[in-house]
Amino acid sequence: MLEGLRETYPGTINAVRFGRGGKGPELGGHNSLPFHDFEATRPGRPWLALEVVDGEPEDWTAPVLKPYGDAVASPARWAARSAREYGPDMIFLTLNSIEQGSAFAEIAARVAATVQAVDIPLAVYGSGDRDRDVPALTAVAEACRGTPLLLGPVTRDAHKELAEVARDLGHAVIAQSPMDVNLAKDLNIRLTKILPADRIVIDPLTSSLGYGLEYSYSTMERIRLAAIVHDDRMLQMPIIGRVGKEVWKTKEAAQDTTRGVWWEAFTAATLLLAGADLVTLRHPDSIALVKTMMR
Amino acid sequence: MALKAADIQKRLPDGGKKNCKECGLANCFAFAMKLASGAIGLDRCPHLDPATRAELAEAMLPPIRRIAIGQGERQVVIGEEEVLHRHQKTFLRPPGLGLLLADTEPPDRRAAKLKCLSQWQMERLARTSRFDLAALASASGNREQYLQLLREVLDQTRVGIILLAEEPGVLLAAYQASKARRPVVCVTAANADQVLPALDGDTVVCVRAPDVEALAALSTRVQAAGLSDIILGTEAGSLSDLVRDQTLIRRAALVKKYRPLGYPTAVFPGACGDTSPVVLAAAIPKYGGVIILNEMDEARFQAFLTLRQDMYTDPRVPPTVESKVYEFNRPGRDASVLVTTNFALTYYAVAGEVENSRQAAYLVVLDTGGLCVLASWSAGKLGAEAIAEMVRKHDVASRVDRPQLVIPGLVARLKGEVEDELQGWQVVVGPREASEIPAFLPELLRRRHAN
Repeated sequence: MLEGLRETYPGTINAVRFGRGGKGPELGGHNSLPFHDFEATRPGRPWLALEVVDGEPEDWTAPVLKPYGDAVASPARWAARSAREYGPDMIFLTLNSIEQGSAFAEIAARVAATVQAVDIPLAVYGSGDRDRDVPALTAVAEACRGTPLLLGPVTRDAHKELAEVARDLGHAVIAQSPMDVNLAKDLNIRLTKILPADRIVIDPLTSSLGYGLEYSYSTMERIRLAAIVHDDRMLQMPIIGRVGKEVWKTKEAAQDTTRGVWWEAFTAATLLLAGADLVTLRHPDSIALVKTMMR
Repeated sequence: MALKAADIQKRLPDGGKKNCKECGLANCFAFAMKLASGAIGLDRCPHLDPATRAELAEAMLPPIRRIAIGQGERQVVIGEEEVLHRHQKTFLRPPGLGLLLADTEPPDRRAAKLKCLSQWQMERLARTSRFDLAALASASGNREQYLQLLREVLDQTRVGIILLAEEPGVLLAAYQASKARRPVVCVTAANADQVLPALDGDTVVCVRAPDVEALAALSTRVQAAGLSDIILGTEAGSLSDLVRDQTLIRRAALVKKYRPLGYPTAVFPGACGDTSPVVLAAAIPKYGGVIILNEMDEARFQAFLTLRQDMYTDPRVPPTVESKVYEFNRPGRDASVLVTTNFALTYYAVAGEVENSRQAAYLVVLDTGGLCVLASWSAGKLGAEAIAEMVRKHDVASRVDRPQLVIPGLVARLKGEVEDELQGWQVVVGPREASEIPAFLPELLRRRHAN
């Protein structure tokens, strides 16, 4: 009876490769629905990333910054400390300094120093303002040529410039579209005309526990089912859930750090169950809690 | 409902072509339609032979049986789920959440758990939610010690009770002592022969076994003993174990209509108590019917209840918040006034950013039937008249010194019309994105002061 209930699926999630010469770890690369180890020939193991910012951590509350001490003054030191002490699979660096008016060359130099400071992959995320992100991320991409980064956000509006930069300099991109399986697919179709499919990660946007988490859950689940069950190649990219930023701006997390940690861990865990291959977190206790789920 | 009308019709007399109208309906197909929707009973057809009647009755049962635990306002009803993925329709009945109490726990720990069960509650989106179940473990093996725990739970709470004692003598003594509260009795392959004959026919039995095959075998034994209200109890273990067990059980029930697994599940923390709370939380989206926790504190309580509420939101109904004037950061005479829709995601985005801005503000939330700004504008639900009516109805003008109304940037074109409708108000076009609000509001205040 039960043997007949195990299914095999046609689709496989692309493996996005990091490390110098693409010899580092792989994100994705599995052929299973989330945690369906019982019927996968290549089960996945999602990545947990810790968030770091350069410039002023304006949208971080003091209790969330506290564990990182004075390392927060420099993204390289902050990233090194996070990587050493809390064992993330990736560092997710948001460039707050773009909006704070840093020169692009300075920004790029700081990112290059951060790459040197850690031996795990790095994602570099802009401000969302295309006019400033394109030159800033271009400078970053050039400064880090040879070490594949994950660059974003790439939205439909500005996809061409950034995708070309990533293609020419060997980086991968985060394709961001607003919580809809068809919009995610549409952007991927456009991007794959410029760069290979295995250099794209889908960001369908994240909402926090209590603030529309079910939307993110169902969007990610539908993307993942389309990729694995229906073998839709334009959706077979790993999915990222940017959890930390969304969670820590909720009232619950801002008012009480303990509750914020549960909020962050549950939001991340729920999205991992929906199909996220990479979630970004802020608090060290949250990453520890999510790790208890995967042991 | 498991069967379609056309499938039912084929099994009616003369292949559904008798059309005798004795059921009171125009023809056999109309009768089949009513049957499929549950609006009429099989007994209304006088010509069904008993074998077909039994077969149809069986086929028309929901693939996952409905089970009620406990009584009164704390009763938990689970089962009758119809989908594997919530976007296919909806997850129907939120899982019952409960706490594990062992009869060897120190008194302060027991007292804290009893307090949580009897007193803690959470209000969110106009709903009250709680932990409604107590699972009682007999760690001592001592009958009197177990009954003492049971008496405390019976006296101090109104929650549903799950009896987890292994030893048949202890279990049946507790069953007799709590029968009036309709406890769930947990049964294993080892004690089933002694326990099952002693139970009333309407008792809810939770079968516990090491794997899904063994659960199916045990539920078949319970069914054969004349008990039909069954819950399939699993131990959480690792996340991939949880996902495997819950997925196989739901697939067996929904896809294969396999009756021995056509029941809601219960997820218990592992015997050694080291099950990750995050794995237990994962049981909420992953089909848990009852989920039992070993540890509790206030932060965890809220996170579990919020996750349950999120995942059991019906995706077919746009989530809304109440249409009214919301207050942020203690608004006074100098507060800003903003307008938005009652689509919950729009509201949360705007409310969150207004709160973050630390600027005093009133947020006027229109009833747009759960449509977002652009959709409600194009559907005619977010127009100048509706905005003006809402502002007047709540007499917002009397709350501020300088009537100035911020409309969403996405409907900038409404500015002139709103000014015409709302005499005495200045209308300002706000940002297109909620994330720009924290920068926008202080600037607006500066300009108000400058003029």
